[in-house]
Amino acid sequence: MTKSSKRTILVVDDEADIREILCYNLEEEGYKVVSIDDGEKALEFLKQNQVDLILLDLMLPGIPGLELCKLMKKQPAMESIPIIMITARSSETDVIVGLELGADDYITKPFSPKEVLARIKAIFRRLDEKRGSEEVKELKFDGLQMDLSRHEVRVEGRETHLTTTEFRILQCLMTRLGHVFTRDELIDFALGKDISVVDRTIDVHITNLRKKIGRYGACIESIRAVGYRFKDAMPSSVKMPSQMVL
Amino acid sequence: MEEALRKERLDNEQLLRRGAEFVANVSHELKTPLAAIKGYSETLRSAIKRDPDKALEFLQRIDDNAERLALLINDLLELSRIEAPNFHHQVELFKVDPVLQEVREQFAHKLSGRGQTLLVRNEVENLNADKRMFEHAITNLLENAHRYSGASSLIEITGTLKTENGRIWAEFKVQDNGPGISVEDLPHIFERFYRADKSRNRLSGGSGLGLAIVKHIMLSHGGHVKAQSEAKRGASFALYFPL
Repeated sequence: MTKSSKRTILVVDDEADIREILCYNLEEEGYKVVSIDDGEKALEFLKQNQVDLILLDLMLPGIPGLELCKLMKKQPAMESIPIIMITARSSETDVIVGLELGADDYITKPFSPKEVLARIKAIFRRLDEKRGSEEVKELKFDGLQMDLSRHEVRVEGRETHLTTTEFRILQCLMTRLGHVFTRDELIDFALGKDISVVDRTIDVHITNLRKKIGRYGACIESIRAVGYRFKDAMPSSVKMPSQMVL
Repeated sequence: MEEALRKERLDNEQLLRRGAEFVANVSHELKTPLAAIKGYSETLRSAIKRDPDKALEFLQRIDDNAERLALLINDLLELSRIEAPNFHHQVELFKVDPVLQEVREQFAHKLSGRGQTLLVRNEVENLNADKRMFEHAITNLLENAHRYSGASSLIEITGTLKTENGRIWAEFKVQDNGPGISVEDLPHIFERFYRADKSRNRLSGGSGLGLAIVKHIMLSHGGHVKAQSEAKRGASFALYFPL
């Protein structure tokens, strides 16, 4: 079963044809779909039922789309449901108002069903990423601990100070132990997508990072011509503290 | 003088504003069937192999929406033609019965499809008007009665002579016993794109211009149109041509 099959999407549009097109395509993609032709009925439905995303037409009988959007954002149980507005109006004002009211995205009629599916996927992907980063508060590998909420790193219980970039690089590597990250991926994660820096920059940060995390520095492996990874097992050449004591 | 100029400027501004609103409405109305055509044709690509029955249904919907688009464009052109300052009628004296008979024949198939009955009673023998436009007005009213009065309804067309304010008028009434029009909607139904039926289901999908066209046809003949209705007690539209 795919991830999308568990998700319910509410389609609110007064045009029967548009509802049919959206429902057919969403169901084909594995989503559970509920469709409603009126704003007021949609609000009633949302009071009783949970949905994961709403495709909302702006010109609706009952309660108009923008008004529905506003009402939803006032209700704690509904405020976090992502909304994609569907509009046939040529005016940009509605779109701007809608986005300001908290809608996540908009699609203008005539639209391509494939594009709608892509936008929905993008929203769910962003949500998953957000939830993922919220859920993981701590990363740990043996005696190396990262407390993400407090932005602290401890090596064998002793705090070590990392720069923000070093912290982000370590976080990225430790999120997927054993996975090789390219230099570009590390730059994107640590510095942001729009930052343009030379590849060597990341090497300098890695060198500094290795020094600061003691024996775990050896776990950061350089993969020639590709990038770096954090080994998922301690290299045998590195002595464990207990062995050192013995 | 200054007052007159100020008034003219205000009138012009109002005209421009109305024009802009109209263009926004038209583009909205055009985009809706277009969105359906585009959506169904893209969906058809994937449905055609997997689900041939569904694919045929989608083809029908594409056809319906193309039809709807054509209807809307025709009505838009018709409305702009009637409204044009240099518009001229082709007024002639014609016999009313054959025109009503032709309209009845055009609708016979549609009406029987919904089990609706049409009664025609006419005592106006001749009318001095644009024959094509008279037929157009009656057709639009009958089309609405067919769409909105529900299955198995009774629709009546009556033509009578009436005296009002010392003038003689030919009155043509199209009446149904359907759900009627609410008091709130009644004052707006001659506005372009106003829809009393807010749920735009497939059956009620006219161009939204039918009654606006009727109104302009009547105004251009020096006549008028009246609508009467009470919710749940049917709707009645009457055309008044001066004699």
